[in-house]
Amino acid sequence: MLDWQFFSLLLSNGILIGLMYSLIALGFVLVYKATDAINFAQGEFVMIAGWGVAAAMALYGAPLWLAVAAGLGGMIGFGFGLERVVLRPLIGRPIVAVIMATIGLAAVLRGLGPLLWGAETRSLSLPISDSPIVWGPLFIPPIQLLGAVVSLLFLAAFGWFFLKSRKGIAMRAVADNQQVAMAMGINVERYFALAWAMAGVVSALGGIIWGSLLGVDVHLALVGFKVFPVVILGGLDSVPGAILGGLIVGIVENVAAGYVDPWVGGGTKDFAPYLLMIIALMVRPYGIFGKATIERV
Amino acid sequence: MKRGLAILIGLMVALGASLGGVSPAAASHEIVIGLQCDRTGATQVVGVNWCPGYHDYVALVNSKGGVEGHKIKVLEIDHEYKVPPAMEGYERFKKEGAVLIGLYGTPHTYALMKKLTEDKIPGTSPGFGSAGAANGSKYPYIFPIAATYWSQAAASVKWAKDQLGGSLKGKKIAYLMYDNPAGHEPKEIFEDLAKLEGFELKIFAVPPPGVEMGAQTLDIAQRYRADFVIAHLFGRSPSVSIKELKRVGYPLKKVVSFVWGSAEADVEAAGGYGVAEGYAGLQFAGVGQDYPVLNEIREMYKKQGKPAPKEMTQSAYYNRGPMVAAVHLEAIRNAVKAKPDGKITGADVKAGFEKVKGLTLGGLIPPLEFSPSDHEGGGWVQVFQVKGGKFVKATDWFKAYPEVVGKHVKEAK
Repeated sequence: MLDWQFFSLLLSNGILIGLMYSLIALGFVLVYKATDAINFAQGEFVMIAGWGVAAAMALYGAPLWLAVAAGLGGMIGFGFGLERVVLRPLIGRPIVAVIMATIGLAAVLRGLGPLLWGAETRSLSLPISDSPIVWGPLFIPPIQLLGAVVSLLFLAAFGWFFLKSRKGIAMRAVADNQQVAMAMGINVERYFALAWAMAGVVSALGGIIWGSLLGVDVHLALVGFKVFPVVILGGLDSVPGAILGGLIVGIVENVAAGYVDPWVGGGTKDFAPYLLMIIALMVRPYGIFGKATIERV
Repeated sequence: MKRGLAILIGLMVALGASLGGVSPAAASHEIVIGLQCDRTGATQVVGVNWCPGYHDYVALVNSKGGVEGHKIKVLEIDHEYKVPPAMEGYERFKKEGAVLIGLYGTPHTYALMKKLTEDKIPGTSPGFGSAGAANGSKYPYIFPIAATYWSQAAASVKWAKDQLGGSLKGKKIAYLMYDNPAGHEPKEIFEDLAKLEGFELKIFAVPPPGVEMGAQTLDIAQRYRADFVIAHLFGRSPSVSIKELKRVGYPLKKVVSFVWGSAEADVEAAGGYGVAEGYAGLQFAGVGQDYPVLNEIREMYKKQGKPAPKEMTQSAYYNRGPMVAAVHLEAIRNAVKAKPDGKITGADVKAGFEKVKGLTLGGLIPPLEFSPSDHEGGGWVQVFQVKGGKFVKATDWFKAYPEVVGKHVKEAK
């Protein structure tokens, strides 16, 4: 195989995987945009959603459509419940309290999966072929293509929601300043709940797609780690940033693994996105599309 | 008078019964084994099935009166495939009087090798490192008791050679390995065999926990264009490798896995037998549920009014439990034969291991035979391959390139 062909393979793979990262990153952005808090349990949301769908099929014999519907419904309920029980009492408290709550939540969810559905790895098979679509020099796995299409659709829908819809504008107002939003008559608690529920939907979709790609167990939460470089690069509060950040991370890690791994013995895929993240933090800490906060002192 | 006679007879019966009780069972001594497990953590897919298999076999033997009348007590720790808990657990085992340690994991074995030798407690490392421990003269207290990574490397090359028409001259073999000490261990055997058989070897490392290897599989299938893939992965990574190789269009019949990536659990996690058709794996204990010892375990459960353990369906990993337990108890049996009071030490068990001969468990395991110099027992493996929705036996027990492996064992440092 010629080098340009191999490069195009890595590039196409990186783009598809990157868009799938964007979907997970979107959950992160949704919560940050609405609540100004960073959800450190985003990977665990994805894991628990995927695990629930896989277990519904394996343990309870549910058909795929029902398991997916239950997964989406369950994660919306989970988002609402989480806001009501854990996060609402923290409104007005320092942001660090919300962050610590999400870190605690991540640990609880990692234990909850095996407790509810057993520790073994479950497969989450979608009714699509495992054989690649061969298109010229490219080998495109159908699951990655599906993941990329779903990601783009949802990214477009949420982009429209935030930019054009009244609720989206209200949500941004809440994120901008909770006290002012309250004074303007916006029901802050309702928008917080909506944001967490939307993060639940994205997590369910991410869990189904990534679970189908990798299998489902506690390791599925590791996908969440890739979200950090994605959102730091793109900007914590930016939907287009989630797309661009996802693409950059997907491409960089694939190309690095393809070309640098043979020289260093492996592992580049894991550190290259974080190296990029550190550089981004030094050069443009609010990300490519992020909001540069100016504080007067 | 009659009443007095009855009392006398009663006393005599009671005395007789108590004297009759002075059998080996009455003089029994509880023998303690320490067992490392990983029911949680990176490689839990193994432990959740293997460890129940081990306990079931010990329970079976105990239900029949134990080993030469002595009951076996198994202490277990779940070390989550992490070395520090394994080290702590070892100290607890030692304190509790364990005369034998069932090790689990190459890094853990490396960490405990010196201690086991100092404390004169034998440890077994079935199917993982250190391969050099096959040399009993240099590692008197470590017993691999099954094909080491060196023997597995040799066997996988032999299998590849057979699948590629009997010659590897000019062929390209990809070694897809988990990037930890276990993955690195067989490299020197591959390098020797590459020279001997004239094939090209390229190594593809997968960093832990091995849930992503898209770039490596793409390279193997499309840039390097390997003629064969030898995979040495474990935990989550075997199922990911099956899916990823399939997704880049690599034929799975040209893949053979080492022993920790060749189980039903790996195929199921990859999406099922339909996905993995042709995928082959090495085994050091039989796969399937139709073995006499497993029938006995099922019968034991039946007598207790319980169903057979669900773990049995994961036969590749479950079956290794009775295998390892049987070798352990055979070594203890040999030790107890020399010391019938059952008050045996680790050194006695070590000597017991070195007397094990011709143990086959009705075909579940190869004909194992250890000696003071050979702690591996031959380096036997079988290949099972996914065909028609199940694992099918593809070879009998075999060992490959014994002269190459033997040279390395002899020179083990």
